[in-house]
Amino acid sequence: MVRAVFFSVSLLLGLSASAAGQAPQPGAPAPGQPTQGMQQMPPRTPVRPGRPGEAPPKGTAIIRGMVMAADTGTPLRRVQVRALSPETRGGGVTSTGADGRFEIKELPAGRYTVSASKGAFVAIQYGQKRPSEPGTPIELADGQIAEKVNFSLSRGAVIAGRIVDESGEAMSGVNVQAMRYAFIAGSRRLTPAGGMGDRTDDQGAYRVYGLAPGDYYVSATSGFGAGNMVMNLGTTVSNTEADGYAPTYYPGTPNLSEAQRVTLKLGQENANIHFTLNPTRLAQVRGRVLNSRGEAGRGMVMILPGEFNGMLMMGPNTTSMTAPDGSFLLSNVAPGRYNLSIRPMGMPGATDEYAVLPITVASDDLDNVMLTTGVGAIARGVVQTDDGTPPPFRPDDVQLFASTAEPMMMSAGGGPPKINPDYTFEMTSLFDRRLVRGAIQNPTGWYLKGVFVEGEDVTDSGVEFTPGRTYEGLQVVFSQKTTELSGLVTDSRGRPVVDASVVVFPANRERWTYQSRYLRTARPDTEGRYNIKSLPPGEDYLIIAVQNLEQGQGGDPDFLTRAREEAKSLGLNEGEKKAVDVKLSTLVP
Amino acid sequence: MFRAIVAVAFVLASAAAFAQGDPNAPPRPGGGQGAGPGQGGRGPARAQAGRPPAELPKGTSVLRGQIVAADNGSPIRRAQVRVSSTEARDGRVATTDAQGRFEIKELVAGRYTMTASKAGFVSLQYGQRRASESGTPIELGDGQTLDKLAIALPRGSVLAGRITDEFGEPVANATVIAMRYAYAAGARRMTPTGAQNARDTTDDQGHYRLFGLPPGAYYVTAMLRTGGPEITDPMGGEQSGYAPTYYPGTPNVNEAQRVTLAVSQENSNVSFGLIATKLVKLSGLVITSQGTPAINGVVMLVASGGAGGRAALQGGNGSRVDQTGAFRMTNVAPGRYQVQARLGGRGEGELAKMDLTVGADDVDGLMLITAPGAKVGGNVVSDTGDPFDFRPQQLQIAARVADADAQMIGAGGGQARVGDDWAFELANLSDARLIRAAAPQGWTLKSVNLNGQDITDVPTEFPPGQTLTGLQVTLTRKVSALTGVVADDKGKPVLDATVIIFPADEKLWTYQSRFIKAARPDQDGTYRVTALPPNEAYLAVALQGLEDGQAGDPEFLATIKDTAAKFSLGDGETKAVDVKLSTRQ
Repeated sequence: MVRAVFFSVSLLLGLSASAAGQAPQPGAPAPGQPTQGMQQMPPRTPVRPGRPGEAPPKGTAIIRGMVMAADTGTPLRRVQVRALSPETRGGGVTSTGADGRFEIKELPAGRYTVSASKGAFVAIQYGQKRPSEPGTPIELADGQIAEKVNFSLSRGAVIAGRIVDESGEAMSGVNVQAMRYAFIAGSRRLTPAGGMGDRTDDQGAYRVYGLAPGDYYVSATSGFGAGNMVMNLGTTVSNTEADGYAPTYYPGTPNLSEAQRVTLKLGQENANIHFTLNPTRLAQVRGRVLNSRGEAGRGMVMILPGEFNGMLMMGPNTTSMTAPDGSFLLSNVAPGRYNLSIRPMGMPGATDEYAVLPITVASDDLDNVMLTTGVGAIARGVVQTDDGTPPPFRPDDVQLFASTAEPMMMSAGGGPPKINPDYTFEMTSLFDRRLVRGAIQNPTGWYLKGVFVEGEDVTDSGVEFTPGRTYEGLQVVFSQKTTELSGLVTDSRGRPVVDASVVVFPANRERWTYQSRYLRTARPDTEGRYNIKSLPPGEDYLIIAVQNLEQGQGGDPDFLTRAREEAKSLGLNEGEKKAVDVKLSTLVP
Repeated sequence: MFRAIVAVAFVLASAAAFAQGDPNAPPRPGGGQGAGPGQGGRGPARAQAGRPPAELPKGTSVLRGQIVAADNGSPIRRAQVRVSSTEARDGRVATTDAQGRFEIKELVAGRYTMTASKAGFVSLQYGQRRASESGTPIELGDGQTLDKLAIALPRGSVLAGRITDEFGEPVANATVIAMRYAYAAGARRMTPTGAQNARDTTDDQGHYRLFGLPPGAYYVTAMLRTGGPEITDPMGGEQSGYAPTYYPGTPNVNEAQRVTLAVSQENSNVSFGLIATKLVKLSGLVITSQGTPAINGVVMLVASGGAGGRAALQGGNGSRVDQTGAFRMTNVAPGRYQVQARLGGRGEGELAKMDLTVGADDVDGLMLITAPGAKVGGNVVSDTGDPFDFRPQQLQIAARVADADAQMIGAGGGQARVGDDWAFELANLSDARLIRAAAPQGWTLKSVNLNGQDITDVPTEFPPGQTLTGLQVTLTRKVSALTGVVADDKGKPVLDATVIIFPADEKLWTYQSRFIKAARPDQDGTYRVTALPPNEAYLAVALQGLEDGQAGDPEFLATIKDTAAKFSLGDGETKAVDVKLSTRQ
């Protein structure tokens, strides 16, 4: 099971979380901060992910409130309400009673995000005003009771319609997905909305519900279900199937640029999004896998969309087991850009070989594709503290991983290594340029100060790993001298503003990179106070508070360029706890 | 994070589980472990999944035909036609053209099953007359072209309705599944209907629609999972939720009401309310055989009893063991379960199991003590001592779970690849096992010996935590073959029948028995069964209307024993035994 995730298909992580009806949590990786490997940590906020199964820390604070339907004002029962404090890993989940009321008890002190979700309603965070904006955190002290944490949930909008084939016959089993633009990895990209979409029934009908108001694009993908993938494992596919259906966008085009927008108001139902799928020529991709020793490679060859378009689940992805001579055959591939990759069979091991090969499929078959695998690089190192004292945390409480330095990139390896009792570790199967990131799960208050190879600081530059090479002497240094930036967000009359986003970013635009440690966004709490911990010290920072900032937009260089003119500068020394109040800017993101 | 990844990776992972024989893979109805009696009939590709294809075979034979709608005879476009042959290790998929025609070329000679499917229609095998029965195999010679292979697909029946909560309001995102009784692992069990469209999730209005169903008797179940898989959810659980509910609104499978569908019938009134139930918490400790906390172990809760396929449906409930050995699970609905704790990887793992009935109260203080699985090493030899004419990589050794119930709740199966020196090691074994070999064509398992003792057909429990050696798997080229014609009382060949070959000795009527095989006559009325072990007294019966998997049911075998024709089969013998169609219904 775990094997699959050693390839970066992780963009969908956050998205599937929101698909599950949870509003995105600030602190948890926001939808689409693509990172590497499985145990990834959010690149910006130090979150203790917590060990699965571990009992959450218990406290004495309480959150109470009520959930109502926005349209009728009547109480809503069985609404799932979640409180989560990423930093302390405290939290709780409950559902509302018949009177719409809920209570989450035994919470440890901390800064909580509270969200509410129910079936066909749009899931929201407490204080959330707009669909793609985060909510307002609730700061709780020990024993504090937060009352009237009330929500009003809006019925989700609906897109429904019917999919037919070129002769007007109903097509069943077609996956239909509503998609919208959102900021991911610093730019606007089309991402799925409304859960995993719907599959058309025998009458060709589909219905995607629970949508927030906004602009949507609707895509339909036919014929590449899970069943096919299993079938392909042991079955060669005859080439009689010369054509099939490429992923198609409403109103019936395979080109996203020709797709038509569907705009939905709050709770609106548009049941007329009917369109036709037209057949296109499908290609076969044939080739061989060769390993680093020049022998036939073995494993499962996968073809995945070359750039993230939110359709990984439903898209034309298929697999082929290699034959003993290393050959493989993938059928029914619609024209487009893909990544070919190979996954070794059996349990993961350091000698596993991987390869990722971008290919472009036009309407013709691709023959003689050579997929040459490599063992990847090995990196050995040690976890240290900045003052040279033996770490007071246990090796098991250290989490490290090597994440790809470029966004939207597919690459193998980088999963978390086991930290030995002497704090040494070995990472294997590393490819491409990686940033080494880590966190101490217990106790809190540590941050990743730097990563060094032979004295050279590679914290932000990363390491370009050459396959087959072994890198010794990686030093991962943690420090307790954590910075903390906090303050009040006020309007022009000095009144606290709750509905705003605070963005802290470096003056040096070369640091406006994907996964930058220097870029952070936070929401003020119910008192108008924001709080940002663990920014690297010694940098010239800029700070700005704006309204209407979309989730993820704080990493967008366009926005940062405009924000630079309005922002206030500040310095931050090692371990400094600084109070900086921010006036709300009139800048429109 | 793990949760989210699972969601993404599911499609890939499930495919991988097939390929790797992952012991954590959910049990599939029908045993899923391979060629038990009557299991090879449906889902032809499954017969092959599990092994990479050998060199892509290229033959000279051709299959042609047409797929039409059963009701009006009109051609079905874009129907999928799959052919596969376990023997020949060949399998293809083709799609019909606008006239419903298909052609599959370059097939190697062999005995093929052919299945046609099209969304909204009932998938059928060539020659298949009834749902849950096998079709007619197609015997294809070298250079032979068979055309006019027609399959008429009936339009699928439809089950639709609306799922509501206890207040009568629609429930969105509930999973609704059509279940039916089918033979799995030698007994009739309620299992999810295999068809892809036999499950749906409700929309915002609570509506679901299951389509493409074969006619038959169905039970409809709906469930709403709150929260995510507990495996990553560190938070406390809810106090109440919904139990898996059966139409017309009962959590009790025995009170479920059957919905009978005729061919192409639509029943859109299968609406019911979910039953609210208290959800309880489970907690306890997992201790290793060394007495230490089973840190990083995984505890799974698997539904047991009645519905064999249920466990897979509900995805189970899982939790990781923390640093102190403690685990906790939330959102557990009352019912009968087996708690399974696993620790470590496949090679060095430990395992514990405990049956548990959950009532209305939280269960605290469960204690599971894991024991290491057994390891057993051995080698593969040929009966004549001659070298093999295939490579070790083409061979796989499996330790199959010998107990049907253990299999149904996912005991998992040890599998091993064979090294260049023809040695293998099976690891992490629990429960009684039968050792089997998946050998290339022309070879079959002759015997399995453990230090001189024949355990070929003896379910063997290997001592936990110990490493045994001396397992010898002997393969032979003497592959027996039994063929014959099925004829009615006037001596006319019958195609629509199933031949069951089984031993007179009732002690061999076990789950996974090598001595029981079922086959359908091909287009000439000839049935063919290979690789039966030698036995003095085999019985052969030909019946109509036999369900898939029914041949593995000892109770059923007892009822047909007396009508059977008796014969013997020697080692590697090729024998012709014609079988008269039994008049028994």
